Amino acid sequence: MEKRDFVIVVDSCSDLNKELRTKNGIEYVKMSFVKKFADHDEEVPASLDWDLFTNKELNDWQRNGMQLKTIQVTAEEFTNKFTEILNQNKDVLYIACSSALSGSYDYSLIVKDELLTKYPNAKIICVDSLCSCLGQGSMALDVAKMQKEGATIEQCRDYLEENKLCYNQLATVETLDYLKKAGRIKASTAFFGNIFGVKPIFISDAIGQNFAVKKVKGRKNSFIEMVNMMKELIVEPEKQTVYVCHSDCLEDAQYVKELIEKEIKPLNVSIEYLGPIIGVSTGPGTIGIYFKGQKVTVTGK
Amino acid sequence: MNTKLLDGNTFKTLLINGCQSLINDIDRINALNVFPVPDGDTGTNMRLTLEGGVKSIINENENDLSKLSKTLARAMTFSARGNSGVILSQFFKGLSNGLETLPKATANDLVKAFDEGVKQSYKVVKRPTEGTILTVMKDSTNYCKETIDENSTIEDFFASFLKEAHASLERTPDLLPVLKEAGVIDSGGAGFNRIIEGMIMALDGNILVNQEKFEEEKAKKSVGHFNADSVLEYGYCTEFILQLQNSKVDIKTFELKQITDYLEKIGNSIVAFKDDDIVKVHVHTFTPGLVINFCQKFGEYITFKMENMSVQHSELGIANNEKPKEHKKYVVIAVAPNDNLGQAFKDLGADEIVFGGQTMNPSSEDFVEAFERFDAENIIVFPNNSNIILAAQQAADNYEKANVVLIPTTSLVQCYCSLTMLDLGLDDLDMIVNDLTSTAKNVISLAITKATRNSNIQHVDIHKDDYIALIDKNIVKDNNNKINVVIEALKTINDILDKDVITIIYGKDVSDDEKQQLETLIKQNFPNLEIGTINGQQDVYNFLIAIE
Repeated sequence: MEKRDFVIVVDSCSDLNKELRTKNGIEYVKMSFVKKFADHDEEVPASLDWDLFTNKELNDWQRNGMQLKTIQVTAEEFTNKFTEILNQNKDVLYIACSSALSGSYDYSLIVKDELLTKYPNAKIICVDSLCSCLGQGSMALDVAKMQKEGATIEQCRDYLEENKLCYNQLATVETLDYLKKAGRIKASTAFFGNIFGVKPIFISDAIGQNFAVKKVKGRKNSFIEMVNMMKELIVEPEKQTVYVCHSDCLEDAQYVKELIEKEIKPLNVSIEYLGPIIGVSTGPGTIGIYFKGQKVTVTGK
Repeated sequence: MNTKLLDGNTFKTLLINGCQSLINDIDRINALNVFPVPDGDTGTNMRLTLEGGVKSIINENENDLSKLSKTLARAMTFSARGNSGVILSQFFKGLSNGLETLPKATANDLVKAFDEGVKQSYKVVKRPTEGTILTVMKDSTNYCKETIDENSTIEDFFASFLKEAHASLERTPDLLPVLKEAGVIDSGGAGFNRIIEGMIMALDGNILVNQEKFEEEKAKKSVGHFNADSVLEYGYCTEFILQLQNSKVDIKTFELKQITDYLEKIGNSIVAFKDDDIVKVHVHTFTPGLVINFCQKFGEYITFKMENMSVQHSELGIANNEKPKEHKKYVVIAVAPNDNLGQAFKDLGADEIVFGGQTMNPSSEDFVEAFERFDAENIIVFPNNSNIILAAQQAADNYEKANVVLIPTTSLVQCYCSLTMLDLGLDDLDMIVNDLTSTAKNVISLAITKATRNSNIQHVDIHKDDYIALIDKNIVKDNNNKINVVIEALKTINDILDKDVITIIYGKDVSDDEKQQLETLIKQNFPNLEIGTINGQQDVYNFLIAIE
């Protein structure tokens, strides 16, 4: 039997910019978000290309108090994208945003079952990345490399299932308001009562939730602590590109980048934007670091 | 009189008189405050400490001096409050150690016993300061070592002691510059001397108060915090047991809700149980009369108990007696002066509040009572005032059912900031305590209040009724505008522009306009600071501020 080609698909949560996607042949399905006005709502596709809105605009909307609500990938979007690929006689490897954060993964499974009745010879493999942003994005980049080197879709899947918890996230936010509003953080009320100046560091835990593992006083201290934690967790830094993602706080991202370069010396440190979905959930002033390290074993209760 | 031997009964008489002598002069001693701030309470603390001891022996018919002083010392360990109170309690503890095995004591025995008292007092303070009650105790005892011999009478001993005590007290400003600057003598020493004077009067037959009268006064329980000009601040802690009456209600179908719904309208902290035909209720209310009348519709009272909470803060509600204690691995207890701040601490994870503060230092016993409300493995305590730390420590040292750790916080804001870092999820006492302590240490505390008199302290000229800012207990600024004084005080902090967070606890008498004004000015002057505010509603201090 002839070996079928496959296409790696991610979603708007992956924050892979156009260049990275094009270079690696990665496609994405779009989520969307709703801008809430007093008298009407406006739905905007969550493009990762900053063509419909700039990163600054997205963050300024939030700073000015506009309510933004994210919407998962619809069945229609999945169906269109997957069909397009299947029609090229290619299989689909979908790497989904953590199922603890979005319903997209669950939806993809429904669409998959439906499409497979129409395309009985095709393969659609959906992987719950249990992560988001460039944790999810790096997984796609790594399997794209494997793909180029001849790996099969199953080999890529097995790699992901085996290693996805090694993709570490350490993030901190300027204010907890957005995460609390979005209901996308796990912690007790006492941990997050009405606290001033406390900057929690949260990881993506073993079941893909954002879980606050540590309280730090002061923003700068939170960066320093993140890098300290990263030092403990990272594996083979000299072989990997580390991502520092930010939502409209480039200066802070640069500070963190320099700190990482000085303290950890990875192969490369790349600064990226937090995209329209993660950025909306965490709010302006978020910094996230993504790297490969020890397997995450913690689960927030 | 030529008393050669001091026995238990005589000692008791001396102590009652000593206590009364202190009480008679309490206002003057409270006013001996270094800072021109209306919060002096040394006299009250010493009185409550000594009273607790005297109460424990007043009905003892124990003529054995060693046994009597042991009972006294034990009780004072728990009634101790405030630094001077704790020192006093330890003095009597040392005294009791020194008198051990002595059913009666000679003047020479007293010298030795008082010397033990001095040693014990010095031991309890981490960094003993000269020019305080400690110095007065020590000097007088040392003087007696020289003047008293085997022929001396008890009267000789006390006369000698007091003579040097007066002289030593007068010297306290020379030893402690803050006293000199403020133009006062040490308040603890002054209180101590009043006690000795009272004891001497009793020896001379000059009885200030007889035992019955003393007991009667105590029964009134007035601790001086509620007087003719007081405002009812906390309401009444009201508890009753009601016998439901068939003639009034159908007991079988009677629902507690009928009572609690009404109580919620006129009170809070409601705890109610129905046990067959008996109803037990605990409620805090400003209008206990309404409670009495309303509930009588359903039955008749078996008991009805009501206490003004401004007077009696250490309430032991029905709830605490009836409910099984909650088992907890970690319990956090903080001292707060009112419900607003208590709630703020509870929001951050405190389990229990001990009511008290600058003008109302809780006793060691108050802490022990709070400990007792839980079946705890570890208890973390925030005393929140330098004058409360010792009493809390004494409670911790004397508590065996749990491991008690003190976070030595000296201000309410420091506690607040520290609690924001509370993370019991770490599930490691050392790590938890380390986080809390290091955060607390990092806090710079400011307090803004009105000066009660003209004064010159630490080279700052202070005018009566001006606003003054204290930074970690140093007076730094004086200004006639309470907003400006904050900004000016903040500017004196060297690395203020490197700080991250300012937490402001608003007191009573701060208007919304003033809050707005202050926050705007802070943003303008210190754009690096993230501002957090709490409506603390505290007395005395308009603003309590933390910089981190």
